[in-house]
Amino acid sequence: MTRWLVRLYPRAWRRRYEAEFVELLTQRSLTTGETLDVIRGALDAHYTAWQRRSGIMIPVMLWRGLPFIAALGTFALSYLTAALVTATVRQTLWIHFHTDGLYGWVPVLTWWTCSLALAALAWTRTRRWAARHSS
Amino acid sequence: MADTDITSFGRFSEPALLILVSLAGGPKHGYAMMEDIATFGRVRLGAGTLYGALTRLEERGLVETVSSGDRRRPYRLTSAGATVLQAQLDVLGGCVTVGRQRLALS
Repeated sequence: MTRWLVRLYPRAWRRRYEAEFVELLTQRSLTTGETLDVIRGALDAHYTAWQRRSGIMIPVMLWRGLPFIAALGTFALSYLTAALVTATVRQTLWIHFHTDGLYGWVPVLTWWTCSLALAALAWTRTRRWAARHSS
Repeated sequence: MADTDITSFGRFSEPALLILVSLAGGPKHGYAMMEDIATFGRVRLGAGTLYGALTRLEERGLVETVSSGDRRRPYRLTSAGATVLQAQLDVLGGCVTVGRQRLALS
């Protein structure tokens, strides 16, 4: 498990830190939190190495736009799922109970609310993430 | 010259400061740093976070390795690292003083 986790890191990073990092990991019990922290560290090492190689700094405007893109994407995905489910629900209701009107709007309004809530969550989480990584 | 401002480390700023404080007490390898930080900082750093911060500190010349036959390579504070730590502690000390004064007033 430890070896597999260390292999997630870039080769250049491993050349420098692998021996001591493996030693450290074997001294600690690998909990879920610890494992996730190591995976996150590997992603960061890849991102830093890519940034150094390419010399590309992600523009501030893109970081600022990320929450909007995340919120819009989450809303679209959630609403698309909602639309499909709602259509099925409405169809089922109509077939079985021959009912529509206000009752048919309940699932639509529910999914609108859920989609908006998910989009708001995506917005706040991405803003926090971008604030930590944009520097 | 490399940017030595640890506040530019993003999410690694706080772990970097804790590492500098830990190494101010003498050279330590990764595991010893984690244990020390858990004692004085009441924070358990993950291995990924520790090495994310340590990599940045080493690249900027704020810490360096001490030659050792052991696989667990010890690190120590450089003079540049000590200067940066002193500056950070001055800022934090100012915040602590003002915070305490304002709490006493309220």
